[in-house]
Amino acid sequence: MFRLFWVELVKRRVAIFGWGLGLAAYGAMVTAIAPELASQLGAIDLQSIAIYAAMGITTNIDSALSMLSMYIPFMGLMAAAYALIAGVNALAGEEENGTLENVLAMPLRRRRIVIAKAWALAVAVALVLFIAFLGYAVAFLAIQDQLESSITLEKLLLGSLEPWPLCFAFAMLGMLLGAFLPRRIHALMIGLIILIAAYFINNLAAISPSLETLQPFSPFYYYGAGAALTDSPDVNNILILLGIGLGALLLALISFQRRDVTVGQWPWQRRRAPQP
Amino acid sequence: MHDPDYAIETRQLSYSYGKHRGIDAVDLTVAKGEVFGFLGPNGAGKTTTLRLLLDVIRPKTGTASIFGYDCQKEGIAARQHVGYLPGELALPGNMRGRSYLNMLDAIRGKADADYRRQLYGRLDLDISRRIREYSRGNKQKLGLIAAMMHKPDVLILDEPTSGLDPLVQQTVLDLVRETREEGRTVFFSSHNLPEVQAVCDRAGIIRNGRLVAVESVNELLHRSFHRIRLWVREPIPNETLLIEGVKVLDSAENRYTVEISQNLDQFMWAVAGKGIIDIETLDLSLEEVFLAYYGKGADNHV
Repeated sequence: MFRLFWVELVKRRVAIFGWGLGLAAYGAMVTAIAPELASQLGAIDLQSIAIYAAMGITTNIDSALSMLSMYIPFMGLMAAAYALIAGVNALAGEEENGTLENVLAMPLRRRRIVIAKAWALAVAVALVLFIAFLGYAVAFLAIQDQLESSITLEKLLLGSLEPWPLCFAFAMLGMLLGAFLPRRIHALMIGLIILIAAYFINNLAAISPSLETLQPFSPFYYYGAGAALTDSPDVNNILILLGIGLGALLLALISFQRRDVTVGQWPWQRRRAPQP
Repeated sequence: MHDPDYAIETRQLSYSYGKHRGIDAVDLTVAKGEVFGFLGPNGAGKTTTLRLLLDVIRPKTGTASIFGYDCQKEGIAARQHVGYLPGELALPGNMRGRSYLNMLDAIRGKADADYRRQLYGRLDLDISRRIREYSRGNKQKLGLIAAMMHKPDVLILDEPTSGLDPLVQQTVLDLVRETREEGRTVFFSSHNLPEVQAVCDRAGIIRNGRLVAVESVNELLHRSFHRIRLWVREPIPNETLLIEGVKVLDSAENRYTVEISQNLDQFMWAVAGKGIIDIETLDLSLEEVFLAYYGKGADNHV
């Protein structure tokens, strides 16, 4: 299992560094401009502007800390998009480009293949977020004297890693869609629709009470969204996101175990094969 | 219970792609140490059969086994014995050839390092390059090395010479012969009759998803016919070519195209005195050979 996991992780190294460095650049930029932008935005009542609420900004910016708290959640959205795409590609992408057939021809159980991929995805997302943290850290060290003392490297690390449970949930959702749907493009489209809908349902509920009933169905509802910079992590929310991820992984395992690979059929087109 | 004496055995193996035909009730046995040719035109069901053997897809009815291990229920044990070259070979383009082989080593256990080196030497492959820089032929070579380097008991090759130049094709056929000499089994899927004749002991012919014949290759050769085009200095009188088993397909000035199913020697004697300038042997399509063997009622031939 470890060998397969390692192979899967190494395969993703380019994407890990690419996404990690992209998010690190974002983090460095946000941290670098935080003091100046905070002073400019301090006079504006952002809470009264609906579009900001839709983007998940529910407090006014009066300090570099609140500025970072506002921008770090966007990193969660971007990292979740990476996780979803990587999850879809892990099964559906490899099935469609033909490389999965080579793996299935080896003496490996299907569930081991799926679990190794899931494990590798979970670690890959953590690495992406950690590389992103390095961007925040570099900028932090460069302008530390302009920032409030409440901002520390430790807090930035927690803030950077905060999206991990959310990303895990979306990565496993991507795997589930990839295992369940006939083509990568279907899985990707549906996954991205879910991601965007979940993001906006959670944010718009702040300005539209009628959406509040839907809010608990959005994984973003359980995402701290920068809260790690000021508070300690909410363990319950983390567990809920991990539960969503593990549930999706379990369904992906069942679906992949049952399906014919390389065939690309919708579930209702597949006849039930006797199980080993 | 499958017979472990056979390297590969299928019983009533069937598969369909929804409304589309896959394979239908394929009964097949491949002996240990045999090179078995699996012949069929494109879309006949060759790749479907191979994917069923590897449990990539699951049969609608019937069973398949490798060394007595059910390919589905005991798939791990069955695939322990297998090296596989897919017909639609896809490789991770961003990896180097060496890394890819190392990756396979890491997953399934260390291959024989000397044999692996020997393989890329004989196939003339530079494994230090990235796979995306490989030509189609070089990708095929890498796929062959990946399938063969563990010296599997059963080598399943789907169109192994596809995309290779003639010299390398010969090397691949030599490797297949050597595999047999070591007592290992090769399941050689192809739509190319001459290469199956060159290396296989027996061949099965699959058509429209049904295994319509299993013959020894000697039998195939015996029943085969030739298509020849020859250029002569003098025209050949029609009556000279009235030989049983010889059919003139086309004649124009001093060029003749003939199909010869028997009395080849008599034909050669007849044309020898006409000043032969050149002779060309034309390849036959599998479908032509198939129809020549079994005629229009071939679907019913088992």
